[in-house]
Amino acid sequence: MSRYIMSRVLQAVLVLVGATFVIFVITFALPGDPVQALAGERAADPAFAEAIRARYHLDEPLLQQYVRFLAGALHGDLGQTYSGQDVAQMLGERIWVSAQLAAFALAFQIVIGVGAGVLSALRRNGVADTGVRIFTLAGLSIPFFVTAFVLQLVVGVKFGWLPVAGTEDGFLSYIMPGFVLGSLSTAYVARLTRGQLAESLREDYVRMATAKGLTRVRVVAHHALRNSLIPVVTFLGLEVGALLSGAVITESIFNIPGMGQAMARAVYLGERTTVVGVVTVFVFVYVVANLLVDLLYAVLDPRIRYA
Amino acid sequence: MSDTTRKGNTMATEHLLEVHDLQVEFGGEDGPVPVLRGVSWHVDRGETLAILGESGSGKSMTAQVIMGILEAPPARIGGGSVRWNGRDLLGLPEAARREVRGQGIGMVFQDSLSALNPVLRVGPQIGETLRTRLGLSRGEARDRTVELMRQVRIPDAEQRYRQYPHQFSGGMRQRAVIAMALALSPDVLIADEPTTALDATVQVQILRLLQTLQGESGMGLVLITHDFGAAASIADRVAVMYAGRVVETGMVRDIFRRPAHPYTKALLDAVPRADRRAGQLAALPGQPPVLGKETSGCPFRFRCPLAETVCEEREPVLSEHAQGRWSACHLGKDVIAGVLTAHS
Repeated sequence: MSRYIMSRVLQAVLVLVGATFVIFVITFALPGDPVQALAGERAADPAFAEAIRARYHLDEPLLQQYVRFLAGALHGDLGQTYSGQDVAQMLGERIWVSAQLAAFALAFQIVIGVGAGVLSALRRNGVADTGVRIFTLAGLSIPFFVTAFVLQLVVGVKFGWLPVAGTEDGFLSYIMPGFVLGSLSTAYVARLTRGQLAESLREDYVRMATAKGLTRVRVVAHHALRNSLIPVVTFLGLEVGALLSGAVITESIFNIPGMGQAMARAVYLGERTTVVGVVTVFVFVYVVANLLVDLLYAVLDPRIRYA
Repeated sequence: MSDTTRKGNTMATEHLLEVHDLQVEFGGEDGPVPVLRGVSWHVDRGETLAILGESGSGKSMTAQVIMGILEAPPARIGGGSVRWNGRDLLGLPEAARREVRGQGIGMVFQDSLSALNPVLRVGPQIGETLRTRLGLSRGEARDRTVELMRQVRIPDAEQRYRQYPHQFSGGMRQRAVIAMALALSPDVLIADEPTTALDATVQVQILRLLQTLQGESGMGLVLITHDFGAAASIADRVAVMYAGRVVETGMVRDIFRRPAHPYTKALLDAVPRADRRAGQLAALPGQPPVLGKETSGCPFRFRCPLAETVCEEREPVLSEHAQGRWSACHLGKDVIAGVLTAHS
């Protein structure tokens, strides 16, 4: 077991290094000169440009810059933005905003997604099942920025039930964006749960559980659902990483000061250090979530043992 | 005991478990397909009934109807009754039927690997109903479960309690499933092909175990099997099924010595025997009838060496050809007498 974890951690480190290198190269190859972008319309003053290049080591070869970045990242230093802000510090503040948003999205997926899936599987081909099917189809096929604008217009502007954007209203501010961010996967979770549970309900051990005289609730909750949820838990674990990157669009639409918004702005402004910093955090969360899901397998299913 | 079926309005004595004229059909695209076409049998306390038949004859389905675990739809119970201690189970509400499951009638599934929940420990699975149904405490249920595991001869029961199904061998798993079915001490145990997935030596052990357990508790035992040897070794009576019906029933020694239905005879001839010279085994020609294909007359006549005109005209009903010898064959008397080919 510990050997397995060791090798997985090693893999994770390799993935982290590889992913950051790729993003480093990509930002390097992006068109546009960041120094020129700082100067705006007019041509940059050569002396100023020189100073900036030297300060941010832009004059060094790519590989040297990358090694410099890695060395800094190991000490928690992700560099500075062109306006002199510390990237690690900025992301440290923003990550909690993004985490809250992701938590809301995840909560929607678990409560609504799993709930609808269970209901659907137990009332197969009934009214509830059909309803869930229609809603999940809508959830899967409507792009989530469309859902976002419709909700902002109807729930936010027309009825005024929830804030349209921003985070000034605390808890309430996160409901709508959280729902939008999680909507696609909520639909997927509902379908996955339905399919898995419907399959489990036909298993012999579930019929045996019924035949030995257990109540329907006990049969479903204790015997059928537990096995059905293994793939759902896997999906949700990986979803944590996807939720952060999905937040790039959602945070921009709802004007939420999280990492996604910082990323979107940085790409727009050609802020390489921020882009690389955010991606590093994304990759890190993704890799850790992956590892945890793999270890969770063994807890959920005793047949799986890691050697 | 020749009151195996009820005739007209005369009520026979009350049996422990009695299936009467049970009909089940499946909803197909071209209308309902009958799967059980009037199945009747019964079992009494301390008695072992073997239900014999090939795949698709409706043996397991009858068990599922009795337990109330038949998937309906697509299946539909068209008629008949299942009486347990005189109560008709089919008319009972779900809550009342649940009371009967486990405590009144227990069931052992065919494939022990799929009958045990792979993610739960074996012990708690066996003892689950002790807690939910009898309200025993965790410790009490544990002690009783270990006792049950010992009763079905699982060695090192204390350690085995904590293990998962995949850590058990096939034979041990089947013992665990038997223990699970016996947890609430049912009056009747239905064992659906309990030895099919096992090695020959283990098969014998499991059959002996069932026999011993029955002897200890005096429960009724229904053994569903396609194995004549298994039936012969522990059954008192046999019911042979073909095409969704019981075609012959009687005491095991009578049937094995002189079957009263050509189908039973053909099956017996196809069993390899150590006391005969090795050579070609007798095979039964043809295929079992296709379900739902409407045919008149006896469903076995296409494969029957004795088939006559009367067999095409109407389907025979289960009737007594000699003392205690019931079969659904127009020529039952001839079969018992050993006539081997058609008259005409």
